[in-house]
Amino acid sequence: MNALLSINDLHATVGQTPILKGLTLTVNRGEVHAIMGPNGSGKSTLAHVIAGRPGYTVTGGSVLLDGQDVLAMAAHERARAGLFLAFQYPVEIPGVQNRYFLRAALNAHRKALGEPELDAVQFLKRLKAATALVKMDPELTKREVNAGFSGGEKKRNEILQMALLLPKLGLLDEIDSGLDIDALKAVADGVNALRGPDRSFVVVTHYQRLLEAIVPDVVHVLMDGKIVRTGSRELAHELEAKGYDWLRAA
Amino acid sequence: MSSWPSTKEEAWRYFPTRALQDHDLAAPMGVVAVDVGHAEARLVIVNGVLDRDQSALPDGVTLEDAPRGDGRDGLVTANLSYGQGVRVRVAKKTSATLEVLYVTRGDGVVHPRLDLCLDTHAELRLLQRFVGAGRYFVNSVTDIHMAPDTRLAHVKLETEDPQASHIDAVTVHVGGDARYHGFTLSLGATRARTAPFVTLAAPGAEAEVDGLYLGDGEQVLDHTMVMTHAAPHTTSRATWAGVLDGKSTGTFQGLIVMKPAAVKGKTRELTRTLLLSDSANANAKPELHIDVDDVEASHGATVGSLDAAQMFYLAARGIAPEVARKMLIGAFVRETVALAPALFRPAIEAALKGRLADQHDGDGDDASL
Repeated sequence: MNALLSINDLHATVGQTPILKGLTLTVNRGEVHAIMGPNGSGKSTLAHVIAGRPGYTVTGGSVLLDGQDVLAMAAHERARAGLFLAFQYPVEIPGVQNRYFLRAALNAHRKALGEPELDAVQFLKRLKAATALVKMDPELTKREVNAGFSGGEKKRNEILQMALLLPKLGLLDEIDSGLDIDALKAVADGVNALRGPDRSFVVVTHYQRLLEAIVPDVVHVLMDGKIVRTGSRELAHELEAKGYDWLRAA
Repeated sequence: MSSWPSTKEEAWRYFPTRALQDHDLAAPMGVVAVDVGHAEARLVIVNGVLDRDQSALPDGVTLEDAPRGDGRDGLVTANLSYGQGVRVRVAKKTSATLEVLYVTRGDGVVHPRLDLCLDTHAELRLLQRFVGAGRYFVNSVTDIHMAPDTRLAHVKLETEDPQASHIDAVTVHVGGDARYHGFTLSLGATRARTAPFVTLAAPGAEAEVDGLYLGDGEQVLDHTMVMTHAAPHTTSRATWAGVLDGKSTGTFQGLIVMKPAAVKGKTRELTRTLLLSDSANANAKPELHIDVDDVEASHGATVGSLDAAQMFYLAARGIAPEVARKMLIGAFVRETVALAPALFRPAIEAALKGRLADQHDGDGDDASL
C-alpha cells in the first residue's frame, strides 16, 4: 500500500455539536494535499482531531497513519509516530528556552525510535542545519518558546521544528494566516525544502495564494464536515474565482 | 508568660498552631554535637545556639549579645525569653557576604535568633539556610536594622526536615536611602511560616520582598508580610509565587500600609499560584491600606492550573505529559527565581534540584551557533 494517511468515515463532535460528519481522505506517500473550505466547515477540527487535541470527541470512523491506529494513541504518541501539526496559533511558553524545548522534542522522538539521545554538541549540529534550511535567525532558538515572537517568527519556528523532527506527515493548519508576503514565502520555502518521496503534507488553508507557494498534488473541498469535491490544483483556482457556493448546490 | 497565637488574629489566620502546642516553649532542646565542617564567612547555629568553634566571620563583621525584650507575639516573646540570640554587626562602609547555617536535630523546640545591624554605608549579602533531622520545631526570630545608605541582599532557604515545623518572625527596619532585597524559598517542613514585617522608616528607603514556595503532601506553607511605608519617597515591591501539589496549603497574605507621612510612596505587589492538584489549597490575599494621597500602588493575584494549550503544544511535539508538566512548572518557578539576588541564585537552584526538571542541562557552546 502506498497510502500514508487513511481517514475513513470520520465523525467528530465538539461538546454536543457534530463537526465532522463522515470524512474520508487518503494521502499517499510523498503527496501534498490541500484542504480548502469556508469558515466553520471543519478544517481546523480535522487537523486537531488527527493530532489528538483534548476537547474533541470522535464518534465514528478511523484514522490510520502508516497502518497504525492514530485514534488509539495519546497526542504525544501520535507525534512520535510521525505526525506533525503546525499550529495556526503557535503557543507561547515563557520560561522555557526554545532550544531546550527543541532538544527535548527531538530526543523524545529518538527515544521512541530506539535511537540514542543526542548530546548537546550533536544536537547543536542538527539545529544549525535546520535553522539554515528554514532560513531562521539562530538567535531565536535562545529565546523562550514563541514568547514575544512576531507572527512570521512563530510560523518559521513551527517549520524549524518540523525540519528537526522530520515527520512522515506534516499537517499545516492555516500556516499562512497573519503572514505578509515575505514571511509566507519563507515559510513555503521551508516546507518545499522538506518535501520528498517519504514525506506527505496536508495543507489546510482558506487562500489560494498559499497554494501558489506550496503547490499541491491534490485539492479537496471540505464543507459541512465532509469532503465534497476532490480535484487537481486547478480546483483551487476555480474556488478562487467562483467561491464555495456553487459546490453547495452540487 | 507567652501565649500561642490564634487563627482569629489576621496575621495568623492561615496558620493554626494547635499541633505545635505540645511543645514546652520554656524548655528548648539542648545542644547536640554536629560537625558541618569549616567554611569561611559562616555562622553555624546548632539547635538554636551559636556554635563558635565552627563559625567564622568575614572582616568588618562582629558578634555581640542580642538584647532581650518583648516581641510582637507570644512566640517571639518566648524566643527572646528562652533562646540565646546573637547580634551580628556589620561595621560602617564594610562590604561582606555571610551565611548563617541553622542545623536542628531532635524532636523538641529551639529558639534561634539573628539580630543583624548594618551600620551606615555597610553592604551585606546574607544567606540563611535551615536544615535538620527530626520532628523538631524551629521558632526563629530574624531582626534586621539597616542604618542610612546601607544595602542588604537577603536569601532565606527553608529546607527543614519534612516532619519538622518552622516559624520565622522577621522584622526589617530600612533607614534613609537604604535598600533591602529579600527572597524566601519555602520547601521543607510539614508546616512552615515566614512572616516578614518591613518598615520603610526614612525618605528614600526601598524594599523588595520576594518569595517562592513549593508545597506537596499535607504541607502548610504560610507567608504573611506587612510592608509599612512610614516616610516620604519610599518604594516597595513584592512578588510571591507558589506551586501547590497534593493536599498542601499555600498562603501569601501581604498587607501594604501607606502611612500619612508616605507621600510619593510607590508599591507594587503581585502573587501567583499554580495549583497542580484538586486537593491543594491556595490563599492569596494582597491588601493595600493607604492613608495618604499622591502615592502609586498596585496589586494583583492569580491562581490557576497548568495551561492546557501549552500542554497540548508540547504533546504535539512528542513530549510526554509528565515531562511537559515538569517543563511548565520549571518555567513558572524560574520566572520567580530570576527575581532573587544574583549571587545566591545558584544556591536556590541547588535547593530546588530534585523537585524540578533541570532545564539548563547542556545547551552546550552557544557561540558555536
